[in-house]
Amino acid sequence: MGEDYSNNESFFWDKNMTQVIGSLLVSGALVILHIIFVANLLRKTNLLSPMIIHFVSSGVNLVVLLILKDIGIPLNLWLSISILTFGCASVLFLFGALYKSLSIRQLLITNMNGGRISLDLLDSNVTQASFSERAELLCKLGLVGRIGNGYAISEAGILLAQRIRTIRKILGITTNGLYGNNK
Amino acid sequence: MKIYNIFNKFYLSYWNPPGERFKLFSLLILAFWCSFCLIYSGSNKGDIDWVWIWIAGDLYILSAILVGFMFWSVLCWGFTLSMLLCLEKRKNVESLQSWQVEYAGAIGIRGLSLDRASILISFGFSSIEGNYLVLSKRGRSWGRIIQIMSRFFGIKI
Repeated sequence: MGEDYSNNESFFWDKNMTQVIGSLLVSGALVILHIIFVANLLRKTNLLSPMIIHFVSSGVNLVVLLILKDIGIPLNLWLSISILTFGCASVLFLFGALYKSLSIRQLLITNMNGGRISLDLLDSNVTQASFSERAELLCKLGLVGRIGNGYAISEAGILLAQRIRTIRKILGITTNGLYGNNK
Repeated sequence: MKIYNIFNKFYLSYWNPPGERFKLFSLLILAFWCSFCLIYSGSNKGDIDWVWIWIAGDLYILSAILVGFMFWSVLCWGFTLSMLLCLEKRKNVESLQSWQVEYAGAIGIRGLSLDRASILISFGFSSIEGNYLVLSKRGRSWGRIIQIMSRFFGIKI
């Protein structure tokens, strides 16, 4: 790359409509590529954690963008990276909501049940299932141990919980994990 | 001391609802960026295409808000995190049921279900009719869209 930003070209911004159009097209295409790449990997492998897949794909697309700029395609980096960042962040946010949200799971199960579900069924099929799933996860992470039918927090769990409490205190968060109690 | 008390009262009582606080500061940052662009675009006309700088900056800020909200919402309402904090308070529970009671209050699992359903109700997706959760027309169409998206991302329901 010729690093000569004299006269009419600046590193930060070059007033050039070709570059703007190039950025919109290339970044849009890369965001679509990111979505396809992530969806395919998520469906086909269980080896990598979903978050790693998202970050790797975002990074690969960023590198592709830089290579395209380097081989001389008219691109404005400030604009194209912003579009790519926003696309990747939106996909991550959407995936996170679909992956873990209990409310969305309730919506899905109710919809599959014909749009109407009894609260008992909702309790057992959605909430209870998610609760025991997460209890299992906490056990697997070594934060919680099992005692017969019951559960007890481990040393590592106490340490992590205290750290989280400190962060919450600094940020002034006093919620108790329910939406109803938003204080 | 007095100033600290005023700050504390202001910050921790008036601004306490964390969702509202997050919304307010996101809007403030966006407003700051917009006014920055407005002021500086006036002082060097012609050299720079401020519209695109402004749009790109907005996109960066929105991305940061999206990722930030993921962490913020987990800290405030995260399910697994709240379970851990509940258990830390009690140290041990006799069964899953008592853990749920510790989390959601006396009605336990039903309280949790209703609490998570309340967000669907506030979006107009569903309503509670007697002993049933019933989806509205909007809820059903969004349910279909979300189902397709979940399948696209390979999420098992």
